[in-house]
Amino acid sequence: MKQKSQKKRAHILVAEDDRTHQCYVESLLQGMGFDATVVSNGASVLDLLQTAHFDMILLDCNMPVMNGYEAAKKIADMRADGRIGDIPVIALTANQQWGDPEKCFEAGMDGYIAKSLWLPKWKPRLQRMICQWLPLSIVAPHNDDGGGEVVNPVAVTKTKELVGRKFRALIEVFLSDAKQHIENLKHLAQNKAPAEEAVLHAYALTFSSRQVGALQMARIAEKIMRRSSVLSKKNEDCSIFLAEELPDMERAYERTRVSLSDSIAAS
Amino acid sequence: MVVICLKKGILMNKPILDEESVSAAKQIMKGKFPTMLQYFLEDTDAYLMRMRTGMAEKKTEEIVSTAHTIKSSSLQIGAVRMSDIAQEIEEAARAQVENGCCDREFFAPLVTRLEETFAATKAAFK
Repeated sequence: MKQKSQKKRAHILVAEDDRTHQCYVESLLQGMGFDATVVSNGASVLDLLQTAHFDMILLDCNMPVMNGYEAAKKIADMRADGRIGDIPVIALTANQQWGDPEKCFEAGMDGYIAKSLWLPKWKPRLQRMICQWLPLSIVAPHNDDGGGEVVNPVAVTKTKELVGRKFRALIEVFLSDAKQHIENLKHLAQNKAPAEEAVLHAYALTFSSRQVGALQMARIAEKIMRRSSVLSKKNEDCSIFLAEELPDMERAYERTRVSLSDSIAAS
Repeated sequence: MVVICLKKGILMNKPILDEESVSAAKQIMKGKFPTMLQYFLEDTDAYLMRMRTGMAEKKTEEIVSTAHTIKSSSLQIGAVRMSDIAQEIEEAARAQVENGCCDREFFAPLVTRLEETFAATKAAFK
């Protein structure tokens, strides 16, 4: 008997010094179904991370006491030595200068959201962007069949609508590239390669799988990406971890191939 | 100078409030909109004072940072004309920071325009 999946509400920590924004962001995130905790500087973020768990951190770049860049560097250190999990850190900024995104990435942030996206009429776009960075265990929780949905039919339909007649070509490219990334990961595992080499393949697999709605593959790829990222910061190899995960990934790939082929045939 | 005049011309064409943004913000904020508005009005007063102090003391970075905050907070609440003027000030101040100068005479009319627009924004929200 199938049980209903228990969807956990993502808890997002927001650091923002302006009260108008604080008020707005908190309401916006709550309205999207997230829990939000808002603080006014980077130092408060570091304090809270000692005692509470968050699924994502949104950091304003320009704040008093400790700005977003400085906080992001310290959070990266905490992630690297395992004091906290691999929580995505996203810049939240009204800066529109050349080099601003690069500055955020150099500080260790994973992504970048322009503050103009908080505009009310852009709410759906913002929601999609946040969901892109949230761990899949929250965005699309597992069902009780062990692996969850193989593909998300809504995402597949939307992709079809978006690309039209190019759907078949897109899926063929996705499957071919995904197979290559999996082969590369197997090669890395066999050669006990440094974990950092696995991160890029897992990253590419995660995002291409998400784009076409291949949920099960995306979920496993994301797990590999996060684990490899942690191991790489400890200069460890990824062979044992990949040897455990890759058989699941290969099974997920095969199920996805069948499911997406059915979608092509039906279109 | 021509560019500045053209930009001012564009700015004057923008409404004080973008009604669509204001009503969407009210919908999202639900009962908390009056609180957000109160924060916006109180804090913008303080930011404008800091901007004036920055001008008087020739601290261009202070002008950049306050204009930067006003630019985004006013946009959030639908005060689009204020946001555009604040952006104009921020960009000019950034350029002056890069050149290591602070031309008070250049900023004075823009800051006055921002203060006047803030007064008009307050009135529009009443």
